Amino acid sequence: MAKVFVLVEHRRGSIREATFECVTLARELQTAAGLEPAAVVIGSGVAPFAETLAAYLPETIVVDDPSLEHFRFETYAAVLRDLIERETPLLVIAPHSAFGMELVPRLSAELARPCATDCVAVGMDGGALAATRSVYNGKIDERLAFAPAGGYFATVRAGSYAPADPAGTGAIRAHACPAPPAAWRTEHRGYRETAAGAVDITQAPLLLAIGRGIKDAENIPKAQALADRLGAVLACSRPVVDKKWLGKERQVGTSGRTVKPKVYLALGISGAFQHIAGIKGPGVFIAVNRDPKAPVFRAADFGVVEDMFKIIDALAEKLGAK
Amino acid sequence: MEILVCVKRVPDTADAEVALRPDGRGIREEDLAFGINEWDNYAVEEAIRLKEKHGGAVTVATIGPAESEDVLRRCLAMGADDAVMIDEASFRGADPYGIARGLAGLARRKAYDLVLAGALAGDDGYGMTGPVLAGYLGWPHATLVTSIEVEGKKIAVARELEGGLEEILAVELPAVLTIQTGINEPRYVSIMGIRKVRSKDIPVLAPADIGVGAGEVGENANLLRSLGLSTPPAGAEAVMLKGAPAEVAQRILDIVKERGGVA
Amino acid sequence: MEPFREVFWNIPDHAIFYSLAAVATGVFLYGLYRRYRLWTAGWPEKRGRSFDWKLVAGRVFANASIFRGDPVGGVTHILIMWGFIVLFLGTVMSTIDHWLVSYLTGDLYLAYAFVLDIAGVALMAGVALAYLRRYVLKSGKMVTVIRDHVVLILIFFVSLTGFMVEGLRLRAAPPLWSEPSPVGQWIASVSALDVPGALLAHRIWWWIHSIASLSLIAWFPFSKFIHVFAAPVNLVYEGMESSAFLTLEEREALGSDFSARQRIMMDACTQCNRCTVVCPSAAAGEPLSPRAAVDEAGSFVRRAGGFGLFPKRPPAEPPKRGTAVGPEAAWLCTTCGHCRIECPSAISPMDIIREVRTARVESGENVPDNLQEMLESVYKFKNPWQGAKGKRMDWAAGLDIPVFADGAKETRCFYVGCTFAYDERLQEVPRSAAAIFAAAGYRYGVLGKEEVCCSEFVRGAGEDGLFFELAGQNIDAFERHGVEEIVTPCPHGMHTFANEYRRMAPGAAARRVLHVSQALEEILRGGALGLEDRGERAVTYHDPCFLGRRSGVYDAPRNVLRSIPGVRLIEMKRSRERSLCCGGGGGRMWVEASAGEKMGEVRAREAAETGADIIVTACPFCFTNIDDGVKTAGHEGRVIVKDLVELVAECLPGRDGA
Repeated sequence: MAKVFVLVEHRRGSIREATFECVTLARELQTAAGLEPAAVVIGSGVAPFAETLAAYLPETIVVDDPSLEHFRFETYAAVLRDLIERETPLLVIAPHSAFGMELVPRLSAELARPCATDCVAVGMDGGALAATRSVYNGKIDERLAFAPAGGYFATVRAGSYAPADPAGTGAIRAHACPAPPAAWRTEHRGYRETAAGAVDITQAPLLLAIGRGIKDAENIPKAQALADRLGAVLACSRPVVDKKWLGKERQVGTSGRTVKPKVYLALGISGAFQHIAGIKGPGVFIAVNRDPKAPVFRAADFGVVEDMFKIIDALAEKLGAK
Repeated sequence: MEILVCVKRVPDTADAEVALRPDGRGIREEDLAFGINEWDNYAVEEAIRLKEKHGGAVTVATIGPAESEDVLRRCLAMGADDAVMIDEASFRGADPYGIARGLAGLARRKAYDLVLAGALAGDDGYGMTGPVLAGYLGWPHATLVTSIEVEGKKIAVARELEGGLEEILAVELPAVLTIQTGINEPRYVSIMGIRKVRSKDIPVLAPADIGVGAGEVGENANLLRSLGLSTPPAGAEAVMLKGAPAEVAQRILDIVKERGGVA
Repeated sequence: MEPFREVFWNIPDHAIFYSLAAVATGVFLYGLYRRYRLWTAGWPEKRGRSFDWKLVAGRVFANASIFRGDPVGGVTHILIMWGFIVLFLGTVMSTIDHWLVSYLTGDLYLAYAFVLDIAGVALMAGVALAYLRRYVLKSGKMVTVIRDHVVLILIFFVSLTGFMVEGLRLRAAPPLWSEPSPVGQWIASVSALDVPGALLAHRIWWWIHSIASLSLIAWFPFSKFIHVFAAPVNLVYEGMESSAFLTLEEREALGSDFSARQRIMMDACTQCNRCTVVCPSAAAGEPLSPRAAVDEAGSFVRRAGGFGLFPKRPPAEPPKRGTAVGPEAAWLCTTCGHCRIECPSAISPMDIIREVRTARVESGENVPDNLQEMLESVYKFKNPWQGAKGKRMDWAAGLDIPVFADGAKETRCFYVGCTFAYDERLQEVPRSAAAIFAAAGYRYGVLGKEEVCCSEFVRGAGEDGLFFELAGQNIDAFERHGVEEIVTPCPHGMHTFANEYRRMAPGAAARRVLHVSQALEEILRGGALGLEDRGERAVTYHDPCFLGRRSGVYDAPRNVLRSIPGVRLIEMKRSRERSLCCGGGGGRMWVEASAGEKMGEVRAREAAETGADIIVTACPFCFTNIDDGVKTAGHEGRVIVKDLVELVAECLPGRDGA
């Protein structure tokens, strides 16, 4: 039976949440297409990760070697080339993350196996695999088919699938690390924190998040004042940080922090997936945006189509009246 | 340092309404504003800064319709030394593999030390052209780069990871890097600046010039084939709060109090 | 014997004096030549044929513009100026008398001597007043540097020594006639010297006086005295109508920084500081001084040109114009135009600052982030707010608005403007205008999606190329649809359509341009619409800079307000020509200062102090800034901001007052 591989993403001693979202997709494909799911864990001293994954999928393949301590395209690709040639999975899925983006597209080109990146859904379409991608700032969906090849890749947008719960006990199988080439051309030199700062948005129960709609650095104090009155911590989306209006430590999203507040109040945020993917947990999500078609309304629990400044003023007024 | 930067002309859809063409195979472009892909703009700025610091030359290239010339002129005005276009006709409808094949052909025409591209494009958002290009060239690559330090025959780059973390990677040259936004602050390009480069020749290369045979790229050669576009339902999941700002504000405060436990 | 005066009386060494005089004159002429070269190194501005003599004469000879708002300064200047002129003419007359024809005899000589004595007194009194004004009255708020003391003291010293020479001459050799030189007579009378002593003292003082005078002459073109030439020349320029802008081709070919006129302005400036006193940015505590900007630019030009008594080789690497004014100050000017109308010599610091901006924008360096983003938005989206083209007519949702491209056959264009089209709060203004026009049967069409940014502030920010591009698109659209008249609610659009578009397209001059307040004035004349009383309201009107100072429209909006029943107009302390800028012009909507209060807050406070219920304005930027100011300065709930058009529309019959 054909296989579907889930590439396990882990960093600095823990498995990344996005892996379990891919597990959910793999299980769906097992049901829909009869594919046999397997997790692929690559790294150094990653036996515990394999144990974890075994609780999710029927099979877990481990490639454990000191040379694989830190993720690098070169080392991981060498392992995967070998593994894919031997095991010929029909589909390999990975998170569309800094890990997946670095690893999968190039590997797909080298193996001439088509890859659909940043998919919001992967499924069957008339007996063949098809992927759904969200394009033009989330305003259009595109369905993609793969040109016939021996196998395929897909990277999955964070948040597209709910993280899986453990189910059953799977087998763990080791795969030998292929012999390394004469010389590597890249070298991992370490990690660097970029979001160092006094504010910790990850622990706040109430977050007031602002996005591109804030328009101007001048308006930041207005939002900060409202946050203070609400007892909220001010957070933001990427454009606000790119413009240096707020520090990186306040950024919510895949390239910023992942937050789990009780209430997330998003003002003037359109809802790029990189941002939405950083909002987790069972909290309530309220979005204010003047564009009724903003993708944020697909992620939010409550939506308000209004100019964010009108809402800021109205909230300030209500709070002042108390 | 010889640098090639791959750029793309894309529509700005952040605040615009995006509607499908009647044939459902593309979007209506009349009311959209086009310009250089945001990520590519950072890549061009970074290339120019590297040139200003370490010498060499910057070439910008694109595969796209004739209107893309504006984007290239803008890059020349920023400080790129040369620009080149690849005749789009044979690449029409090409997937990222096809585009990367064309760019690889172009990159082989000269001894480049570095090829830069945006980490992704604001329209289709594949985020794969750069690394696939590196695969075709057989060069090392790094994606989502947020800083570049030149160390002789090597460079040290920072890659943006999730959760406010970066990883530092040393990469041998020549290499392909994809650039993340925020790596620098791109300079302003004035109309006067663009005028100054208006007579600069921008050669248009045919597929044969870059070693791409007929039928090797384009829609029929695609590895990824579109099954069609659709408009996702708006606000499908959110409960919409309606009313005057004051009423809505009250509802928001009620929800905050109810769910957030904040006084 | 007829009264007369022997020129070199008691002075034997004529040759020494003439040698010194020749040197001083040579230095003087050389200095003038160097200034002339400095001026003509700039590019010429294109000027029209009309000329305003009255303006030039009134300002040059009567110092009318110095007296305005500063009578003590006016008296000071007129005493020094006329004292100087008379003494100079006296010297010329006596030279002619000595060398060419002898005519200064008899009564003419007596009158001559008297007038010159008075002129000397006037000069000294002027200098005394200048010090009184600086240090006792402190009325001028001027900035005084060492150079200014040297100028003032030198003038005073030359007059004083002149009187000493006169007095000692009268003491040593009292003439047979009674000489009408009261100061000289008085000095002679209090002098205790005997005749030989007086003769010696006279000779000493004569030489001191001569050397001081010759020094002054030599130093003249190298000091702020040059304003004596530069200011009148600049006023002559001011009297001439400005014509076409430099085209981009011409701009590209420029071999120098700053135009000839801008260079003359820099030399015409005496650092009187009146510009800075009225500057809204300076008043809000921001680090901008228009005076200092002109001074810096002047130093830049002199440095670049190697100007000086001992010519310096111009620097090998020419300094960049973008550095002529401090990096922050260059972006703080709101182009409100108050400095220009306040300057007695019609110097326009804002034009010099704008010129610096053009260089900054061109090089792409040191352009503030938000301003850069605004310019990029205008380039890409044709509006400063990153609004999608498809949303430009969102304001008209549900209304039946005639659009030219959809076949509207009209000659009048209602130009909505970007901020009114995209700002959701301000969309109410064009909607209100449409309601009034409909009620009045006032015909118009709109450009709809063809409308692009007027780009007035794009030019203000120094991005001339972008201005030309978008202005060209608007002009084409006006021409394509046979537009003969433009009505707009935006003063920035109005100003640029009326005063700037005609400087790039001759045909544009024929188009009548009205601000919507002027259109409303016409519509409401004679109570035509039957506006209804919505209750007693006290309103104060904020003159937008680009409607008032820059376009000269002060009365139309006030007349409109007076024709609304129940509205009582209260004027603010600073209104009409002296209106205080909201801080929104010249691209300042997108630039934040590192220090100082918000100009919008300052203005909101001033408006609130009138006790008015409503602050009425007629400009989208003024609205935004003052509305913000009302909120941040804590006047919310007491006063609200409205656009004039909204106030009228609310009173249309059958409409609810909001």
